[in-house]
Amino acid sequence: MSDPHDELRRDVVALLPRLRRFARTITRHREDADDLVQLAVERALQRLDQWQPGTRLDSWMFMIMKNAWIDEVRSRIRRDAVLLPEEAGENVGDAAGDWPTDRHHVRMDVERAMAQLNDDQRLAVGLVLVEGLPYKEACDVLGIPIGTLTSRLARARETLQAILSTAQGVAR
Amino acid sequence: MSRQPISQESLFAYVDNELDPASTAKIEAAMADDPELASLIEEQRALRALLGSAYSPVLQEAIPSRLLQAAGARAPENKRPTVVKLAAARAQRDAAKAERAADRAATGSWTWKHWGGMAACLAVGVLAGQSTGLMHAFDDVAEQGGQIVARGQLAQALSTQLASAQTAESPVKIGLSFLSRTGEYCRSFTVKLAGTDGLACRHGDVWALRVVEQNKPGPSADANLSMAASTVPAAVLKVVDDQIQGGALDANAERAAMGRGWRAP
Repeated sequence: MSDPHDELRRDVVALLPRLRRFARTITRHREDADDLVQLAVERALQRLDQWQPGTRLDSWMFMIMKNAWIDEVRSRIRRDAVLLPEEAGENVGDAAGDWPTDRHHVRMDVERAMAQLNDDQRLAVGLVLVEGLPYKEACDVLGIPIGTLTSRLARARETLQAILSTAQGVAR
Repeated sequence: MSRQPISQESLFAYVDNELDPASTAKIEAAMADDPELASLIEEQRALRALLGSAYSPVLQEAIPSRLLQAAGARAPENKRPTVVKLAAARAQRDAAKAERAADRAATGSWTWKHWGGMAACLAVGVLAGQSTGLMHAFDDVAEQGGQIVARGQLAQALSTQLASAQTAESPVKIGLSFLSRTGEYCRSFTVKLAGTDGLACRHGDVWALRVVEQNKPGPSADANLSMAASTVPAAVLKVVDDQIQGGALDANAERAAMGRGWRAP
């Protein structure tokens, strides 16, 4: 029928919400996160031929995003990325009865805790704990052996747990 | 009875759904008589849930037009489907198919009456002036016992198609599969020809539809719209986000769930 890449492009569009979520686990400022998504999407569309059918498109996109982050975006992010007041208010209160304040606080606490991790740990947390990738996929995305992934995750969990258990009562 | 201590590594692997069934069973047995282990696992689950609740709301946000444009899709104001209640979809369809609709109303066919009655819990989005897809979609559903259930190719795809191993030729595309808060397996799907997105959950022996959204033009429609309208509709994502418990199933978990006939573990 039409361009064989059409469906692939549609799949990339369908992945945008998850790409945005992954980007936000890596970089704290939402504009930086969307910059990263945009760069990754542009790069992906330029090299759709390189995607291997039968492999996961989300993993491939995450890998492109990880590389874009390390090569480029990281060096020009908004260094003092704190939540701006209007931004902080953006997601609050649109769903009635949805404990907006709690949700807002959860996000703030989690973002503060994530900020204590190094980049490698944040990538591992984003892929496995937020995006739900299997270890094997996450290893492929990051280009690391499984032992490295699990130890990064273990250290990240320890740090997050320590910060969040006081903030949120995770460790009851 | 002495038991081998559970390593932290396997505890994490268990929470991350990385263990084979035998090791999973071992951990679950150990949890049953080791409250400390059970509470450590609970902490790790809580951490995952907390991360999810902090980051997942972005899934429901409108995607900035610059990103849609970068991905080759149109800006949202040009293509956002109008979500309407089924009653409105009915009026629209009726306008196009006045005679047939009149026949149905006269003979008391279940179709529109029942769908209309379900409008409160099932919204269908239609592109203005676009109803062919909706018609196609109806071949794939039936009313049964007060709920809308999948049938035909849709039911078959929901039961037998793995998202990890589907081909471009299949008429239905399976999106993500997950375990709902109410303990049912749910799967999002796209009926390609109809351009219908939705979410169905395994309820007893049937796939009950939780939400359906018609947001893509049918095959004959304006080609410009076909790219733009291909995101998973917000209405479907919202229901997914409301119902999901933990993360989406990976390929192994999906296969395992299918092996159990989609009965919750």
